[in-house]
Amino acid sequence: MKKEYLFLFLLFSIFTFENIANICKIHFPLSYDNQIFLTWEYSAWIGQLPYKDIFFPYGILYYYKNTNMFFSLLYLSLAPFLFTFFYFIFLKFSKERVFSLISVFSLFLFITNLTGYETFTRYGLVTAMACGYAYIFSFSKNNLNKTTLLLLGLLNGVILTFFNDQGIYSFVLFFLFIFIDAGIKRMYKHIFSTFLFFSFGFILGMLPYAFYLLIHQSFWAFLLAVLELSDLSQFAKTPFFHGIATIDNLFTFLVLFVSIFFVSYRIFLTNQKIFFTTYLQIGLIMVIVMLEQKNIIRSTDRQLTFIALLLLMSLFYELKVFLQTRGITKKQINIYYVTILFIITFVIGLHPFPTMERSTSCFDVRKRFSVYDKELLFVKKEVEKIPGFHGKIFSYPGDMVFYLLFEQSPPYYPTIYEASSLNAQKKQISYIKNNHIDYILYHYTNVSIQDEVPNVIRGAYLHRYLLQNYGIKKIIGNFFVLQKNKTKKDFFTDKNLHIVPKYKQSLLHVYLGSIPESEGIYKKQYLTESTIHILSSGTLATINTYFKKQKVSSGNTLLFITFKEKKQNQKSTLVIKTSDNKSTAIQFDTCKKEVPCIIHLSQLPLFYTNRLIENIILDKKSMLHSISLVKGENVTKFW
Amino acid sequence: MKYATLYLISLSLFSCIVFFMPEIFIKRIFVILLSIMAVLPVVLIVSQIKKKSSLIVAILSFGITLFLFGLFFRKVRDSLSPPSISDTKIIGYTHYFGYPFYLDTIVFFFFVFFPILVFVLFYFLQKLYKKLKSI
Repeated sequence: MKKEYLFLFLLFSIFTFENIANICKIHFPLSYDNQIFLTWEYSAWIGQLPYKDIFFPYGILYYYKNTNMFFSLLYLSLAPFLFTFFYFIFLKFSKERVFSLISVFSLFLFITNLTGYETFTRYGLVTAMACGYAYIFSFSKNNLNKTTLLLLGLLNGVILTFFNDQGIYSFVLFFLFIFIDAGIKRMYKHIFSTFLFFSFGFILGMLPYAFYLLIHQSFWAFLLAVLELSDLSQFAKTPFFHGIATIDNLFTFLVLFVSIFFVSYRIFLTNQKIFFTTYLQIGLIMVIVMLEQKNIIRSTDRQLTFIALLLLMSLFYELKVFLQTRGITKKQINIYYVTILFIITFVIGLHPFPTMERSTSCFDVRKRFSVYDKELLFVKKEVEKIPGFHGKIFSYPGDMVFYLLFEQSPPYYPTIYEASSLNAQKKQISYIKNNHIDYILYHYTNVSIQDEVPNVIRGAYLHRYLLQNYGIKKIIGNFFVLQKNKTKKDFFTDKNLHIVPKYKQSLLHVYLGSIPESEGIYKKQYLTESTIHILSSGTLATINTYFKKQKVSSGNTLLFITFKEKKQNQKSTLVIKTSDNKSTAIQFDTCKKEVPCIIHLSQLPLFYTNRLIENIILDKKSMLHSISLVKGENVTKFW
Repeated sequence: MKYATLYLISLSLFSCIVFFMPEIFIKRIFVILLSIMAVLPVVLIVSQIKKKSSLIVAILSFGITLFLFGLFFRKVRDSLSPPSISDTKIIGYTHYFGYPFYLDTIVFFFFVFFPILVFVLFYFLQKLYKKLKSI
């Protein structure tokens, strides 16, 4: 039996040899995703440490797999190991070699044609853990012995070392399995001790990694990075149900819900004993439900279909048993099975997870870091001609490949997308200051790096810093070269702005979306604080009269605008004129009745520099209930 | 058995025909028909299981709930407040466009637990019925 597994492992090692392309690929064309993968690979190559020197959420195996032989070999061996393990699982629940071989080779075809080895290696690991837990729990008559628990915990700790997110999922899965097993066996006494021994093994498994992090002074950085993972969902979340109707989602959800119905029916309405197949189905259901949380945050529908396929295979086994009792032969069932798998893999139209790169360079690593984009190379050439340029730049909002071109260590967060939080933006500013960066490569035609959220909104704090401290030195194609000013200057007095009227317009016409309404709902109570003062309140005429009588600067100033009612999708536009003959138009979603729309003027590009406000115009005057002019000593609570 | 052989031959032939069809609109209709044909044995199972009325009630109630959700989703979404901007000052899609952050997760888990809770309800109803019958 063991020879059989060894043979399969070697066979799949040969079959999956093309996976070597995933550790040697040249990331071209330079899309956003390709740039970030290239930057991470470069960062590993130059010796930057994940969590300490650069943001990297996937675990050290993925960080080093392209640049370190040990990690490359470990990565390459995972796919054949997973195929062999799944064969073992199929054999254990079906006890039929033919069925198991059909299943595992169909899985192989599915992975090579649709999922891809990278996704399979990553999500296949937690799926394999679920199958392993199902096997161990189902075949143990009573509670698991301490050695098994320690070893499982140890394994889980090792997985977390190499794949952070998969390790966390596996841990949660085991925790859930403890309760499910206790519920099925009606044995609740050992829940706590089971969890305790597993956790102890888990900590032991994490110890080598903890020592590695301590030696490299990355331990606290790692813990902070784990805590920051919740920030990821905040800036990455996009609507789920709007894009649910893909064939991949429909396939996964159909299998998921059929399985939930089937397992629930079996457990609650039949008196059948619960065997390994049911544990396996429960495990795979939990994996899909957990990984769907990622899909809910940001679409990963094509990456989860193989798990649905595994679940379908276990369900098919149940159908097989039923059909055999009805006199259908094994041969007929196997033909039916092969036909179903063929239909799923090749006919229904599941989409492959895109891997566009075909070029590789396995022996010459430097070749992978060669950049062939003409525009970027031209920008680099022009920047190097600037007298006094000392070789360091900062790329805004996120053409990270410039760091490779200038052979510079990238900042912790490669782009403003990862640096969406205030702390992250402050860290970017520290990087600029600590490296004495005098030149910013500002991609001014890139107004939104992701998800149609304007960069001036997403990275407002960093953007303010750049425009307060840097001025336009040169315009090269789609890029500004911003040079550090000797003193703080008003960006809007820059003579070069008239050459790029569209860009200037984008700074002076700002759409704030739902931000004012959100601020009004959750922060209106701050209006009663002692540090907040209402200077004037009433109609638009009242406020404008106040501006004529008093000099009101934009610094630390908020506008609270209340409307009589809100119509769906209605927008309002506020135009603010300043005493130096400038004006800015702010468009925003109208707020509900009795909820003030709160606008913090310092967040608007025109008011990065303090200006005296002369006049305010609002388009929806008839809808206006009241407007308040508010000053505060500390308005940092507001966006 | 002979029906089984006939079914398998038709299914295999049909799959090959659809596989080789060019990517035209009518192929989608054939894919749907092929999928229906492929799951016919499952319908056979469902028709022969015990307590199929409970299963049918569970599936129907799930289907109706799903339909109602589809009908009223927009209204529910628009009636909810935009997410708050925390001290991290992160502005992502949901904050900018006012999409309720937890709506998708809540709805997803509602539908995941719906069938489980329906079967739990049937389980307890079944027990209650047995108790009442014994009385």
